[in-house]
Amino acid sequence: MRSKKIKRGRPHRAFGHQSQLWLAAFLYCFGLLSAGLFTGCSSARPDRAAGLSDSPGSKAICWVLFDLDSLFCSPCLAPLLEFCQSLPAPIQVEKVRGILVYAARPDRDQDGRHAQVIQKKIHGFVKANGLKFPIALDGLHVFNSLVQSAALALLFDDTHQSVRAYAFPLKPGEKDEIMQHLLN
Amino acid sequence: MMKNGKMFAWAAAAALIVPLSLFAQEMRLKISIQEVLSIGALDDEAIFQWTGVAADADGFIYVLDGLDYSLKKFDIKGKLIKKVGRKGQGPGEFMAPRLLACSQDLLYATDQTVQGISVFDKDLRFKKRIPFLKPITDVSVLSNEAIVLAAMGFPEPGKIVVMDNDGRVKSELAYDEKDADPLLDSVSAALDGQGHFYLAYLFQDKIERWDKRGKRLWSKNLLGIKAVKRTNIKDLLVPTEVCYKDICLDERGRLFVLVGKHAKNPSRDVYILDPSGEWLSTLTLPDTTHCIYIDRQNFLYARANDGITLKKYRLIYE
Repeated sequence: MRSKKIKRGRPHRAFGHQSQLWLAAFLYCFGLLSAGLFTGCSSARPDRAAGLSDSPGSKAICWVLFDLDSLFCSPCLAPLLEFCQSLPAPIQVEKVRGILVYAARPDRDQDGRHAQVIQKKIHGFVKANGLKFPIALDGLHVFNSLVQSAALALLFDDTHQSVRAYAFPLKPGEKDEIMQHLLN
Repeated sequence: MMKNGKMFAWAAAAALIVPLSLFAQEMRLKISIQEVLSIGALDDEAIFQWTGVAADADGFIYVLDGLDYSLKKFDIKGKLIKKVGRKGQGPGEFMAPRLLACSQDLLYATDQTVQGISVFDKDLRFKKRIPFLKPITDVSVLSNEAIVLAAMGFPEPGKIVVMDNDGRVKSELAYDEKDADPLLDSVSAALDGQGHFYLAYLFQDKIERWDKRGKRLWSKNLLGIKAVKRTNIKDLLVPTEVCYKDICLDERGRLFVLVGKHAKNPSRDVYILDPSGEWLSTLTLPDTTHCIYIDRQNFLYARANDGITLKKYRLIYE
């Protein structure tokens, strides 16, 4: 059995969290997210699950991870939005999935209302920014430590058996690299 | 070591005594609120994250929404009747809409990342953008022809600027010390009917009243805090704790001060002061809010549900 390789698009503080990257790779491989996390998320196609099996052609998929607080900071999220909006709509729909990370609020999380409020905010944000891909809430706060200082893109490429991580703003050439994986 | 320990004990005691003394006083004014309107729920698209609010004499409510980059108009029953704006820096567009003020005929909106003040009429038609280069921390209406801005000025001191609708500066007042650290001059401002104004410092324990000639009439420390916590960001010491979040005046000229982190109920407690700065009462809102606003009919507006809901309350004085 071949093991997954984790490659790094660029050095980044968050990349010290090897365990989260491996966890992401694990979840990706076994399609757990496709069954659970994306249920009920803001989506142009909420009925579709995230996974390689539904990606035509290329066996690559890209997750973009960002923090709730960045929604209220235009400059913070601008590089990520610029990247996502530059992707053709079919690529966004088929091969991009968003994950919104947020801090746990024990006082409000109990009845799920906090998550509902965030889902509503995400819905408005997605609509206003013309995003075509679904965004799931990281309700288990699995990725909190991974998205500490910057939004991230995780590229899973089944063809090359690799996981690559990129921090926003992307370095020159990184967008082309991601696009190459998603298109080929 | 011993000396440091004693000093710390005295400082801690002093920090406790001042706010406790505030709570120990008997309330001179009994005030409560009654909800009369709620706009925005989990299952509608009325509001995604409201930032600024204003209401006109006819009861229409105007709201800036930071998540869909819009300005919205609601009728007196809370029904959305018009929405304008989209993401961008062009005329009538927003990147991060923040503050809103309303005169008899016009609306004034600020954007955190775009310089100047966007002016709309009551039908939300964009009229013009008044140029202004400095970051604005508050905006109020003085008359139909003049507005008042609170502006940060680092490295210069913060200023209160009175200008007309064409951006011509009528008067300026520097209210903070020169060379103050960045953001320490951030204030919320409120104007009374006599042209005097109140300032609440966001990152300092200071509430002040100034007359229209630029003389400070009084200054109060309600929280007993010497200095807020600060953190180093790119070689700048930036405050991270908000002392006072917002201020506004009711119809009788009482000052409502929304207290931040150091309140007994952070972002919910509103201290009510008389015009001489004496504490009258504390009103605790049902939910946390980033701002408070009192309209011409003396209704109080505040946030609920982390910003997807706007609440309108009747103020009841007993």
